[in-house]
Amino acid sequence: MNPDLSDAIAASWSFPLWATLGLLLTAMVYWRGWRVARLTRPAELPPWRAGCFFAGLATIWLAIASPLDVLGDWLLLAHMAQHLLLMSVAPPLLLLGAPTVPLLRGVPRPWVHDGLGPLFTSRTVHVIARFLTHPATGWIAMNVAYLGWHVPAAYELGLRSPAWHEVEHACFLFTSLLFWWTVLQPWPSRTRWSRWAVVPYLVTADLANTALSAFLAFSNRVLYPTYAAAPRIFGLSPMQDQAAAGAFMWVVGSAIYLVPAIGVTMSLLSRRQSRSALVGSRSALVGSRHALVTIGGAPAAGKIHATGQPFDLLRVPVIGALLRAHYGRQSLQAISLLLMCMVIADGFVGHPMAAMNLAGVLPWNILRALGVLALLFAGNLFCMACPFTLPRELGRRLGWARLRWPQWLRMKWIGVGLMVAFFFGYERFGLWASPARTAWLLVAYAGTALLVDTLFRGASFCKYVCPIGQFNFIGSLIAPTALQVRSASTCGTCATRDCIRGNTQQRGCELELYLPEKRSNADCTMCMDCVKACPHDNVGILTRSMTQDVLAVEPTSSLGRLSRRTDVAAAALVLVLAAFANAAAMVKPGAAFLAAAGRRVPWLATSMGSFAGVLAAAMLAAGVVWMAAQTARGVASRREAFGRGALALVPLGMGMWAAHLLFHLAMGVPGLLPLVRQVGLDFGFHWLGAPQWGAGTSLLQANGLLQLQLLFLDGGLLLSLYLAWRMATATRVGQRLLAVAPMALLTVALYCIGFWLLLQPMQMRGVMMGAM
Amino acid sequence: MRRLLIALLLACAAIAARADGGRLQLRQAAGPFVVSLFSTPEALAVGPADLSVMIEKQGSVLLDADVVITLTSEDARVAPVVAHLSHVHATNRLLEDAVVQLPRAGRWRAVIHVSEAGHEGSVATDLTVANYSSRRGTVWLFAVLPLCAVALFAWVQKEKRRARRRRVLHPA
Repeated sequence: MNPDLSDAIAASWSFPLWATLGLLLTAMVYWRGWRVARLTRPAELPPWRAGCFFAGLATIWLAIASPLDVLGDWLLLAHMAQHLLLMSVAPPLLLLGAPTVPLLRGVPRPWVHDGLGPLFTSRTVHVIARFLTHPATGWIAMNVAYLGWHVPAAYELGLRSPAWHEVEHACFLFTSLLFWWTVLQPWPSRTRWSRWAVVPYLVTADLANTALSAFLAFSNRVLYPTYAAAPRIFGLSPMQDQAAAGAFMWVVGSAIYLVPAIGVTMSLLSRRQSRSALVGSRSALVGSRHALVTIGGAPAAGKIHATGQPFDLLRVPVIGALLRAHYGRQSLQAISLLLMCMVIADGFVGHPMAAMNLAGVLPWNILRALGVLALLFAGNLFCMACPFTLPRELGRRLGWARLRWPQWLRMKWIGVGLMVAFFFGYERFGLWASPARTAWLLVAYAGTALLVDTLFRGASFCKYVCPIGQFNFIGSLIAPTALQVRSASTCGTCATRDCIRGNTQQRGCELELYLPEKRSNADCTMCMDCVKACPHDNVGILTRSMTQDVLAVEPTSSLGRLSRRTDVAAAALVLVLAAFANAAAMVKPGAAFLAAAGRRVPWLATSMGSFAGVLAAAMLAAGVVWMAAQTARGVASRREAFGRGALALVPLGMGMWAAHLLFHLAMGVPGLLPLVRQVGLDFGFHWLGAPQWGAGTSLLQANGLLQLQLLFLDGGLLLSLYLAWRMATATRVGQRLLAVAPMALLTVALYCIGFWLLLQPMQMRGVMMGAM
Repeated sequence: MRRLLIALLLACAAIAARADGGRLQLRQAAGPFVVSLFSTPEALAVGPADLSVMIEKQGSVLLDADVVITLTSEDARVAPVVAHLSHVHATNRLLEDAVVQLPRAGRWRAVIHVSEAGHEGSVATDLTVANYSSRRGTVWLFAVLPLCAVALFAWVQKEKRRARRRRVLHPA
């Protein structure tokens, strides 16, 4: 074969985004559950079982991402090899991993308890499960799928349509799992028929396989027309290819059925195996009870509770050590300070085109997106690495910061006002299109931080002024991690309270968050001062429920009860509304609407008029939320109901921000290399080379990007609806649906707007593509 | 005074309108000019497409060049699309922009003609326009997904209520 051709084939790996993410997620859940379940069931879950499960997942990925998938369009032999992997290799491996208990234990306990538990106790689900795992169902389903999809019309449909091809693969995998379930009987399931029945079960399946294989091998015509017209890249004629495929299925397929049949027979004939089967069935019985306890959510044994510690980021090697190191945060801040200086310098003296300037790309398209994604997947990492707080250290060392922030200003309204001003200014003055304005903004930001923190003690700038900080505080309410105490009892015996008071080595929390009473991420900049100050090493970055902060009824350490704070509710609403407004301004209909409004009412086209328009629209939206939230008020005050309603919308707002900014990130990253070279040219570093601006690619394919965006929006919608439901049920005993309906309608209306916005052609502000 | 007001309004409208940037489809010399063509959406599809052009001459960006883009489909039955680009709808003033409707999927030939101060130049490139329905086809699943999740949630709630009622009626 031509070496170029073989190189091309070998390089023809694809990256099926959703399948890869799904397989990775499954692997993570299994791994988490296997580690926990193994502590109590080491005999049932030895390491080789985990190895089998991961090998099964890897086989699926290999089947759909390797060059086999590409070759399958031209060679029947390659396509049959792909099917064999999906039907006869991956399913047995997955089931050998005894996946039931590890997967259930890997899912967060509340999800199993509240979400899956009621389903598993449902009679309907029991009936469906019994039907699906019945040996007859498995045998019939697998063989119908196997033979049915090889009928030429169905097979050609799969070749023509990628969607049907995926359905075909899903059919193969699912029905084969049902088939192999009876053969392998994964722990803790129990046998439905005698084990002797497995032998004819496998042999008859092989008969069906043999019939199809022989038909392919000995047919005197090409059964699938696509292959007759396909390019012959290996020198095989279509007939030779078909015969080879038939022979391959016959030999390998038969071996896969007959070898286990022989193994089962030998094990049944062996007395030793019979005894172990008895023990195995007993353990299966115990195991099934154990699984039922897990599913049903009944109190589990003490040992199981002991292993149910949440994930702690500070216990992760390297990352944990870096975050806890004395200069860990300062190192991150130093890097971000360096980046900020480069952005400012390039903004002032670099290329005037934003797309070719660091100030046009880095803050708006890359860092903003990374910050929001970090909020959703990790926590408030932006504030952790914020360069604006470094001036505070300077002020502290000079000893100037002696004043206390005025009592009457200890609220979020300044931050909320600055958030509104920032979002308005961003659109109105086209910050993203002007590197110089961006640079000025950063200088002003750093100057303000320096001024406030040099005059006032504590972290006044972060807590009361910084608009980015307020955005991050609200966004981090739904973050999956939080700085929390590891053991409440340790804090109960602590007399020094170093986490807030500090000690001679380390200051305490400047934001006045007392860890044992810190029940939310609000106001937490993840500065790690409390971690370093705690003499008992009792503070970690622990995973938690994403709804915990919003649903909390206890007052938090610094802000009291969040839903009773109108300023917090206002900040939440600004975050949500700005998400939709910012995206709307980037699409044609949004711009046309603004232009039409400006033409009709010229005053609205002025800065003053448009700011007034924005404020009026925000007030109107706040009024709608106020009214919608009142039906779920219960005994709470109207103000508190409004606060709850606004906070319930935060997940949707964050989903919209993530969807929007993901677009910028995906389109912006490929252009970073030429951008760096351009910056090098601007500053005389010619050794970096000349930028190669050209038609490049996105980080993700267009459809994959859109799907990810919609997934973020879907996630936001569901979480917001769930929060609205929980708030309604917490306050009203009867007529829950009626209580939640207005907020649900409002949430769905916002979602529809977001969905429509994401489907519009969105302009890519400030990014040029780099030639890849 | 009226002219001043109109100019002010136009300037304000231009700031409010958003219509530039996107994927760089072409960067090529055309006579004394260097032409950069951007397009959005990132993968051109049937329907509205935003085309923006940046013209440079001797290293500096030209703001007053006359730019016309002509799009010709490989399908001869489709009439060519001709658009005169301007700064009016562009937020980024360095670009000249127009929104065109692409009625048919397939390959399109884009010819950009630039003239300024007696100098002229043309560049051409091929654009691939995808069928918009193919994009929409992948989207319906994500609209149905929340409905399924809500239905599942409702089912779980119903089962929970039923179990609670059972416990009340038949306490263990």
